[in-house]
Amino acid sequence: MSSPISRFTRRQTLIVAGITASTLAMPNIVRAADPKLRVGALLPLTGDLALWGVPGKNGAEVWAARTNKAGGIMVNGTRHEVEVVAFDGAYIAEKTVQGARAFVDQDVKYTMVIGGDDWSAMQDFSNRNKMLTSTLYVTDLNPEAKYLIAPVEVHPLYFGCGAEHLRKVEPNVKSVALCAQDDLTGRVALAYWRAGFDAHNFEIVKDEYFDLATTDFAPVVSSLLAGKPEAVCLDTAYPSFALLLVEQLYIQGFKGRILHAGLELLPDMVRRTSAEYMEGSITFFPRFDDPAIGTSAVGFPDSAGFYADYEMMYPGSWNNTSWEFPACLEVWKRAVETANTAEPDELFASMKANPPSHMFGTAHWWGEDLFGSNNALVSSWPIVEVRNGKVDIVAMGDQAAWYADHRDAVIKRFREEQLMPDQKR
Amino acid sequence: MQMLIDTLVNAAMASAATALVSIGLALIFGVMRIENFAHGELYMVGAYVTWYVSSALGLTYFPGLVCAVLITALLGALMEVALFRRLRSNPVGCLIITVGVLLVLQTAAVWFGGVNSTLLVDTPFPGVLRIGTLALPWHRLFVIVAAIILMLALTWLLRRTAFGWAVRAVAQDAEAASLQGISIGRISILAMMLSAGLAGAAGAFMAPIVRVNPFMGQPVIITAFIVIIMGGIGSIEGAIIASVLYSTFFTFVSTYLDSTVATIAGLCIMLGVLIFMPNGLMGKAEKV
Amino acid sequence: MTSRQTWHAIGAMTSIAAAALLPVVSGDYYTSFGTEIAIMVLMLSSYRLIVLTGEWSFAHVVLQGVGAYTAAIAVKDFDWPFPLTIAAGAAMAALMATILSFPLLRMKGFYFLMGSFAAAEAIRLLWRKIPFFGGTRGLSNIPAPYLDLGGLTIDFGHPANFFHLSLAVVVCCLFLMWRMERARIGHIWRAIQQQDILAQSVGIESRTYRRLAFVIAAAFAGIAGVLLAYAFGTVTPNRFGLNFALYLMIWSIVGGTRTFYGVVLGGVVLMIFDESLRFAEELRPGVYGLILIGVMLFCPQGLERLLQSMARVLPGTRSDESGERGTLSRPGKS
Repeated sequence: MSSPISRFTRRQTLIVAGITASTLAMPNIVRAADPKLRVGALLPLTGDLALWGVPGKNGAEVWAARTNKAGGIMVNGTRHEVEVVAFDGAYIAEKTVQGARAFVDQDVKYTMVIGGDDWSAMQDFSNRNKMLTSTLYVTDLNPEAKYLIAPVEVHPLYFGCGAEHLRKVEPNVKSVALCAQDDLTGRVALAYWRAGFDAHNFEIVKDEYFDLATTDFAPVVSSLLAGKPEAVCLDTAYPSFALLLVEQLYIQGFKGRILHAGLELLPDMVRRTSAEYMEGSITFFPRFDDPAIGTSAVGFPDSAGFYADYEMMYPGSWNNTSWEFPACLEVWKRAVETANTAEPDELFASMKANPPSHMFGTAHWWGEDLFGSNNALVSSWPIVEVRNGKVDIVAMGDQAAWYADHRDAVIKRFREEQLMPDQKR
Repeated sequence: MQMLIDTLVNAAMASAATALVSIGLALIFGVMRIENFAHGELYMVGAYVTWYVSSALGLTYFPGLVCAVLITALLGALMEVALFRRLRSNPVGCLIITVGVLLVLQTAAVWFGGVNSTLLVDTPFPGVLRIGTLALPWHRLFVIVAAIILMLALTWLLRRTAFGWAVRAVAQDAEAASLQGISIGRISILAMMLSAGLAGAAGAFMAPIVRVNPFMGQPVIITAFIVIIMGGIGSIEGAIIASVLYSTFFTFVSTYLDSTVATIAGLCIMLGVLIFMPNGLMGKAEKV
Repeated sequence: MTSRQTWHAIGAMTSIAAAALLPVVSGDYYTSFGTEIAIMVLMLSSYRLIVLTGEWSFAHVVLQGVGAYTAAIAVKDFDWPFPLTIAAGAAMAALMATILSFPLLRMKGFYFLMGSFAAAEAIRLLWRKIPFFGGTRGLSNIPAPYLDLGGLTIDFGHPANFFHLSLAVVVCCLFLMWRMERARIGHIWRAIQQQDILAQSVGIESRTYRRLAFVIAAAFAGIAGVLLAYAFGTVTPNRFGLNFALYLMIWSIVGGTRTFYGVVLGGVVLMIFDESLRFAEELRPGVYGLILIGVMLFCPQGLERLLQSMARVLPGTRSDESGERGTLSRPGKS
């Protein structure tokens, strides 16, 4: 047995060094008095939904850079710089709460999440710590969530207008098949689609969920096509799922309209199928390199300039969330400048009294009926079709009006999936 | 009826893919008693290399396939020499080390290709064979044929060549084999290379069909372990038969019912096999 | 008490005291992190009970989940107070473990590992499917415990308060486990691991004792699950998947299972390491993997060995290695 001393020095030093190094590497938790206003991007930066989270974080950074260059945020006569803090919630509830805790320690004034799975754990915490938070999922709203708003996207509200649009462009189509991944995103969206199809006299011939771990989509599509649908709705299938689903639809000979929330990987879809195959597919997110974007996205200052800056700072990573999160920030900024404060209670009260203008135009607070609180900032929303391999805006849907007309269908379908506020476990 | 035929075709392809991955794992488990949790990541590396060579470098699919096999085989050799060799006496430690390799490979893939991009591999066999109402994508047929050829080749290798006999001797009784003059070290490296190369080939075959992402090996490894247990640990023939049975079952259940239900059922089957038939389908009859 | 045991006692008490001071020196984030570490320590120590009998299991994390779901349902649907939910969580987990032990304990080694994985994952997928358990979203809005005892009110929703509560619960559990290991049952567990046949020949029914270890470990895991449910206010099925089961195994090995504190050490060191690597977000698992490989190659007996080397240098300790009494040979790694 070798001398204890030498064994001590050799291996022990390694471990001690390691622990010391890691302790030193931990972030500073001391809160300095800071004129900067911090906003938090609590998004999935790893995992499947990083495709939404990372562009969202990038978009926020670009927005912050542009806002600071234009003079920052004006509160009570003082200009403040804005700083983005990011935390990887990985779309897991517990990690998101960890991120929320980190944000509280760093005095973040406004937090952005995607919504759905990552909000469920945060609600209590955000109430307790007065964290003003924005979500993209209107179904997160409920009377207990005191500091939650849905200021840009009210997924899945636009699907009603989507079904209406399908009826308009395909008056003779009767049958439709639906699928989505089996998680909260998928369930919420499908519930609304079902209501939409009910309302516009479509017959749902196949309606199924697939497991998140699916890698081979051939069986899923075979099953979908067994009912011989004339249109297929892929709902809010995550981008990589949607790509493979579209490819399978093509291979298995489906000819008809395809509907999907975002069509994020459209260029790849065109490559794997063809521009003709994708022609006419219906989706809900415009592209920012469309020259007409300025006319529809009236609430977003200088969209073309934003797009150019983004492509410069983060080339090749543009996605729908790249502008959605900045739009959330824009709403917040307007509210802060109107209210002259970033403190949650006063800011929130001011926001509700003076609804800031939304990305796509004037808006009003909505949602009491379905969610128990009017915390959704609702305006019109674009309906977009694929033309020559790119998306073009073909209509603007009035989400609130559609809902008012078809309320019963929606509530019925929501109850089925246990999504109404009183059903939440 | 249409759905039944489609499902049968899908089941055949799923069986081929599962079998390809599982025989590599069965081989290494039978020979070296190593539970290689990183096997799914070798499959993933195969897919990535195929993508890189065929798409990024612009060469076509088959050079990509060849490179995938070569690189994963090298990785396998490296794992044996640098890692497994030192931990012969410590099976649980070996398992942990393979988990370490798993994490390193996944992270390397994330760093290399990005976590939020979808990498596309174009198949050299685009298009679809249409027979009546059947739509059989050429590439999936290719996978089935290639899998069958590989399995026949492996069986021939193990039964008709000196190398194959040496491998089986080591699997049966390492000490006796070394007394007979067989170099355990050499056989271990070659077996590991073979196992890894098979995984890499599977990844290359599947790359045009599935999502190429850093985590694509995860579901694969679970299925592989289920299949190996069903087939009988160490038995290649068992693994093949179990792959076909399991994949067919799984494909039918997930098409007609639900993929989560299919997974639960699959796990219950594995549990059932462990309780009632712990030696699997092939029992003690065959070891590699 | 021998001087070695004195050192151990002092070490234990110092660590506990130091831990209790955590909320004083850090903000909410690190205090909550401290709670997570405490819960993890309980998981690791209870896991070790199973490892002592010579088996590695992948079901332990799901048994923690059983405790967590029990707590969530008990609190949300029936408004049970904290002490009752702790008991309920432990009981349900122990019950589930008893049921599972009948099929599972017929297997050994790798088969047992895979069997435990299969059973556990099937349960977890059922949680995901069945709406009563909240489906994929799980159960949330679990209110924190609240003590209202004749004038003394404590809101355990505050991270610092809950941390101290968890610390107290965990320390009690650790003490129970430590006593168990020193008692006759602990020796029997080691005997089973070492020489199953020999143990059976002197009349020890090994399966019964393995079952006992499995069930007792599960009860403690259930308690850890209850703490987890309160700590985050939410219980989701993904929290109990294979990844977490693997990490439990990893931390145990890296820490070393020979001594009582070995696994604790492994968990604490690696969790802190993991957290400190947060800046390297996407690359974190890779660094972790390299550490694992390094530790397995160069320090396969675990970190506890390092501490023992250090301890040997300290004055007042004996120079022989077998500090524990016992007529059986020292259990090696399984």
